[in-house]
Amino acid sequence: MSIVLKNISKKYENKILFENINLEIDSGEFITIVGKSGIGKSTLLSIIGSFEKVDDGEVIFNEKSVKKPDRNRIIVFQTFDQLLPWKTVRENIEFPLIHTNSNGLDIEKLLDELDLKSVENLYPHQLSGGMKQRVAIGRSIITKPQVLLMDEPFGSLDVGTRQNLQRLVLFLWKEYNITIVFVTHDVSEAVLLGNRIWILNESEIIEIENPIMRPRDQMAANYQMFVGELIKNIK
Amino acid sequence: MNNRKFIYILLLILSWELISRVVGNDQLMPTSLVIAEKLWYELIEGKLWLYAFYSIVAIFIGLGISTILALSISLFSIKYKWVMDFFKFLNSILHPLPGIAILPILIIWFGVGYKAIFALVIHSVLWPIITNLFLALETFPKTLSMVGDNYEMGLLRKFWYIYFPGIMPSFISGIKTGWARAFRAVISAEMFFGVIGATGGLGWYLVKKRVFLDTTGIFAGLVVIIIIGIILERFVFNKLEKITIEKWGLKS
Repeated sequence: MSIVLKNISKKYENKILFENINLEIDSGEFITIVGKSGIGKSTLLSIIGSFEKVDDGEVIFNEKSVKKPDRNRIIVFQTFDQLLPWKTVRENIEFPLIHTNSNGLDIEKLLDELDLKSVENLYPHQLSGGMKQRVAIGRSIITKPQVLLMDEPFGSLDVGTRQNLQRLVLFLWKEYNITIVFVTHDVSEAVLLGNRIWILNESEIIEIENPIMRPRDQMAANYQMFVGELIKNIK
Repeated sequence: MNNRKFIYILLLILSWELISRVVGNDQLMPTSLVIAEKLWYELIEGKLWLYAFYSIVAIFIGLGISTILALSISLFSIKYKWVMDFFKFLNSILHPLPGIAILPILIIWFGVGYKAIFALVIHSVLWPIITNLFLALETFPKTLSMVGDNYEMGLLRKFWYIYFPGIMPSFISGIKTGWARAFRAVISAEMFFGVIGATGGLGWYLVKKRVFLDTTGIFAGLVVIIIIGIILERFVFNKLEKITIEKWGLKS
């Protein structure tokens, strides 16, 4: 499985976001995307998921040109309104199973892994921000999608909750062998999570392999140095 | 009913009683006891409940048709933007038009009968429901819609499982407004038409009582209209809100 972005061009309100870009994502990769606000990180993610139409070029997924979103490329957003307010935690996570007629993952095991067992009968408005994002992540992986597209999913959370969820995403990535493309504005988070980092600048996309071995120590000197190096590349 | 509302009702009855005793003329303002006796008599002997039943059935049929129409229009508005634009334009023209003003033309088109009443109710109800639904659709979270796309849900499925519960607060609010307008429309039409069906509705009942200068009977009819309104508000709409939007945390 791979995703190929071939000669993609995209304008937004007469501003050129991408011109003739070519990118490739291999199966099982963890790619993080960083860049300034408004540079087109979320748009790029939406293009990968076929939520956004391109002006030119094509997205190739599993060797087929794709134009519509599908259940194998699931998106998770930053906003908390992505959960269905009329469904409980369990019902929200089960929702894709019902509507795709698939067996998916064992919901009991998943609820345990997400630490949501004790709140499975609560509605989204009764949950904290971190819990809501855990539900969103649970719902996104229950059908065993090949690719998870995460659009600054922890952007609205406090540091502690954010660190817990970063650990959780890394665990799920390894456990279920999902390909993850993760947008963040936090360079340190991008280095912590990604195997490969895409830096989006106005005229170019820089691809950098993450040289730091896992598990990564955010306090280590080489980690801090690499973060500093990346920040210099963001224009 | 909370204590405060009970006190309000008691105060209203007492004020009425006081004023009616000062007026001292049952033809103008009967006392609450006389109205209560008349109400009891009309319900048991005069079949007031049957008049009310006819009106309610007419309202519910009209309301049902309008709801189906409004939801269908909303469904297509999600898919085709021009549908929403067109009905917004139509809404801006027809919504301000009072139901009673189009009654003469409805009579020419449909004759005097239930068809004209249903058409009148549909006109009275459709626009407030559509206004509410469009407002909800325009502010509907894009992320929820994308969840449906992600699971390759068709339009109908997406509407039923994602949009409809999501726009429930506006839908209920539209139905509440629509219900009140439908009630007004039906009573007006019944007053205009006279008897329809076996007995006619509450509007016809009120006209009959006026013709015979039965003021107490008129008040008995009005009390029934008020009671129906309260029952619907308290036991249908409030209950519906409790088990849906309040439970889901969607009530603002």
